[in-house]
Amino acid sequence: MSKSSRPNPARVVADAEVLAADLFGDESARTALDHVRAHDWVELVASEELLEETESLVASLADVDLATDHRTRLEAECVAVEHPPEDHPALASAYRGRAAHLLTFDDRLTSAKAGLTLQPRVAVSIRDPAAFAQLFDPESLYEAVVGETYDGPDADPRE
Amino acid sequence: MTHSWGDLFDRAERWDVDRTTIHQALEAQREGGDSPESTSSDENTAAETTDE
Repeated sequence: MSKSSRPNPARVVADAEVLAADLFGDESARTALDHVRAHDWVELVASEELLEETESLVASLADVDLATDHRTRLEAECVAVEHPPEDHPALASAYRGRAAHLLTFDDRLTSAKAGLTLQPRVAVSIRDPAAFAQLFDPESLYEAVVGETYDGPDADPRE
Repeated sequence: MTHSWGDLFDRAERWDVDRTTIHQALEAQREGGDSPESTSSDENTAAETTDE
């Protein structure tokens, strides 16, 4: 794998279920994505299809205004990527965005069997948000990605 | 206009939505054809993007 195609350890994709769970206050999703929001150098990656799926999901659970505002905020935050519309939005976003982490509650993706199937093709770590939050080590990650000493979170996750 | 995360989270609290409800809504959305239906498309993604 060339350096340019190597996953970026500071790039994260959250699938539509995790993005919605974060919005509605699920503890594990909120904790995991707070790690992303609290560090400017950690990037959330999403495709149009992933944002569309999330917006539709939030609209079905709450209302269109909240879904639209949530999407607008995500669009402002995310690194945008493109992929064929028939692809799985989260997996394809991770691959196209060279994200090293995919957060999902979908045990079809986090299972050992799925790992064996996908890992040779897609070099992404697929984890439940709780596992990601537990393993997230900003200090070592910052030193590896930025090459400087980590001084702690540099952003307010509620701003 | 973009809203702060704090504002969005405060507004979302109006709805009592748990993870099970979210999962069921997503499954219903996918069954309705709004998005890919199964993980078979995951494999398509992996296969199609390997050669990039």
